[in-house]
Amino acid sequence: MKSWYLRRCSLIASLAALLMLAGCGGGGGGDNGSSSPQPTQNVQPIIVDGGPDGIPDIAFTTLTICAPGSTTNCQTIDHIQVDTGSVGLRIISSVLSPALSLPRQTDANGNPLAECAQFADGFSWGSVKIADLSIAGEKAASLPIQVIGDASLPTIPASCSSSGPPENTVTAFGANGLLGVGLFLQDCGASCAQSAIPGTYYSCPANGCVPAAAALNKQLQNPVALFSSDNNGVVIQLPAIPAAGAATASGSLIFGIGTQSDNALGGAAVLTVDPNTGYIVTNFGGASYPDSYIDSGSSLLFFGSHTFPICTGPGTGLYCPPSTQALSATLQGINRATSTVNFSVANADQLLNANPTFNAFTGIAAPNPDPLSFAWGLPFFFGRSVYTAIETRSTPGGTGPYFAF
Amino acid sequence: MINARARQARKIVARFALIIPCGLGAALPAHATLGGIEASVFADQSQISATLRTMPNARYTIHELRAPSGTVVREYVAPTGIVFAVAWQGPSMPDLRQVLGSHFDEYVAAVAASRNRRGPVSVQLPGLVVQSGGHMRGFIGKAYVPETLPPGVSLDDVR
Repeated sequence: MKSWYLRRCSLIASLAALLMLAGCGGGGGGDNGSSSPQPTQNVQPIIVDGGPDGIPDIAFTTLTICAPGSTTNCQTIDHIQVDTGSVGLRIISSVLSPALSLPRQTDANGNPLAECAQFADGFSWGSVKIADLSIAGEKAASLPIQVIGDASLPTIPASCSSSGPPENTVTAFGANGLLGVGLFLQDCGASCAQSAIPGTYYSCPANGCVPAAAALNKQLQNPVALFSSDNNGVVIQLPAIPAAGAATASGSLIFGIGTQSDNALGGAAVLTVDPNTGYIVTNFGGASYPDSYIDSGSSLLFFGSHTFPICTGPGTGLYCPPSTQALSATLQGINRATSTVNFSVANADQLLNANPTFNAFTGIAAPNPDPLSFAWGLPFFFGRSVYTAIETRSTPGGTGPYFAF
Repeated sequence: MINARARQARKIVARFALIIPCGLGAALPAHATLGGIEASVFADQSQISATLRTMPNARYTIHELRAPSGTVVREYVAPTGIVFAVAWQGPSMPDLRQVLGSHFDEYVAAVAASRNRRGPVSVQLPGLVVQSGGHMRGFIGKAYVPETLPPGVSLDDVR
């Protein structure tokens, strides 16, 4: 892990140097005038290796954040989860160097802004701060990010802590942070700009945090949308892996859709999503699941409630059919475009017992509490290029939001 | 994993806690919903500033609370007057501490103890089932106490 981390650091450092040279062309050596302009380096490696908690099927990447406007006061952080199901960069405060001393985002009254990020399985509480993000050759300047578990805030408001278990540490979160590169421009959007919604944004004067509206540009932003190029979406590529799984899997997070030779749509089917919810439709087993989504941040396939027996061993809570089931579903966009997906559900207890050190699996599924939802988590991404296009942004496959694969 | 004895102890405490609001009435903040008495629905309504709609049918009564955020909580009351199930849906999570009442801590401990995945949650404990799914901008879930389900009620009715 360590050597991989160091390699990434040096690659980023050399890329940064390259960019600085390109950006300073007018200043003078003159010896770079003859070379044609290089396209922005838009590929960042991702790895499925279990991360700090050893949770299977989570994709991680490495990125660099800097104090706004600085190219030297920077920190490179590994094991940031890549999530196409959310929007915004979130980092656990304990991994952040205090030397960065990132400025706070403030609300209209000058009070610090904080956020409660809600997930189906818990919540993360922290302040909103401003940072410059560098990843591959891309840069998002003055990006509002969430610093999770920031001890400088007043106590967690009950309206935040009452949504489930806290995920405010690396161990509870299972990652050093989360890079949300999903379908939307902001994490909450218009509803949080219009009114104060408990469990979302908070204004934090010294005497305590209260729910507050947050203007669109104060909210956490999709970092990709702030890039100067390759800013209409992302592609995630992960290799096919054996049915028994793999110790690790390495792939790519590619920025932009149809902006460079490495992110062309090719023959991928474009499935547009509901612009409010991000949902598509899955047709499976004679039933329709209209609340379906493709999400690298969900670690498994989640569907049905009593489709298969539930595991009792290391796969507690997951599906444990007696033998591996070969299945097929059809995914359909709001634009009526369809694509057939073949997938399998294996006995999770057997898979995990056979290779306890493996971190990447294609055939693990679990029940979904929403009888109308089929969540296509990370197992779906193996052996595919999966495109996630951002709302309002144009691409060769049409305007986002959409999924394509 | 939660060991069986701790789980049993917590269950006993939970049961005992339910008796107190009945005995002391409004003197204590009514903070028991799932497994609580029907009146606790109104405590929930006030806590989340919700509008309330009541829908009775032959087998149970549904109290539907709509919070200003758009999140809807449905509380299912058996003829015995006990809230046997709750369901929620909307752009943000409901106040689960209020909605699950005395079961909230049990739920949180169970989720924290079974972190072998990220995404939707299904917690199945003796005396408590909680399912929570969705993501930012769209959450959905339900919780129920299996033993208190009125005869003839299917879990598919709870949504």
